[in-house]
Amino acid sequence: MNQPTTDPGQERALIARARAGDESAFAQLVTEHSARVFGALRRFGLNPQEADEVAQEVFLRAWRGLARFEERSQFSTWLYRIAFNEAQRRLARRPPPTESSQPDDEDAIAALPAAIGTGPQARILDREFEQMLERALAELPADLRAAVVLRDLEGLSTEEAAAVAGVRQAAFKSRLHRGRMQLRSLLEPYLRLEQAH
Amino acid sequence: MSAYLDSDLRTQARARLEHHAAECPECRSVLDDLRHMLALLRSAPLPAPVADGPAIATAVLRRLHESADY
Repeated sequence: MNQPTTDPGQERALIARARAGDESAFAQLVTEHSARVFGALRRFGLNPQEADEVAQEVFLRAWRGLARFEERSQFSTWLYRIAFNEAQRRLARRPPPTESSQPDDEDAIAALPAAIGTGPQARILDREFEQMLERALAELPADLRAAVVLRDLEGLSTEEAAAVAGVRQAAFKSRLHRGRMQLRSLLEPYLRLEQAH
Repeated sequence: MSAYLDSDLRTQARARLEHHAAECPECRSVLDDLRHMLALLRSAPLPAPVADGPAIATAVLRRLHESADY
């Protein structure tokens, strides 16, 4: 996970200045957090262009909502919550997939052993894993996907992730478990091959 | 199993699961897969952004200035 470089004290000062209308302070906050917000939006299921547009929306909403930000939660967690809501909104506006809009790969996960066999080791495996992961995440129902993304990819605690997803911790844990089990089934060929290397 | 991997099980439940996994190859295999998968997920790089941070900040400020409620 890409951690912001600003320390918590500096960040609090930037937030206070931004609240008072200081645009340069807000620009610094955007610069610090944009990669993380963009990455989360991609992992929630948006394509690169959508994630770029929606990341801007997230920060526009953050600027307008700064007065309501409660500093007992982390600024990054608050941004995740806005990003999660904006991503769900954007995904809900998408037309339902049609036959012709499905990816035209025959089944990337099933084809994985051949793909791995052609590449020289670790870097290729990393890249392969990223591609497999993106496709596998796309197979998960949105609520299970969000649980896995928030907890296991973005590294939030269960408490934070449940708050971002807007559900109780018990419900979140159930989603997380189901999401992990489904993802494990989808990635099983990769996991087996990697363990064999 | 998720709760076990998140260290979220009480001692007794944890011991029960470990005892079962030691005797059940199927569950042990699932547990190994999950452990391995979580390690990969936690070290996965962030998707590469379309624009860098300063470019996004510039775009956000431009949109702020253009918006009616600024």
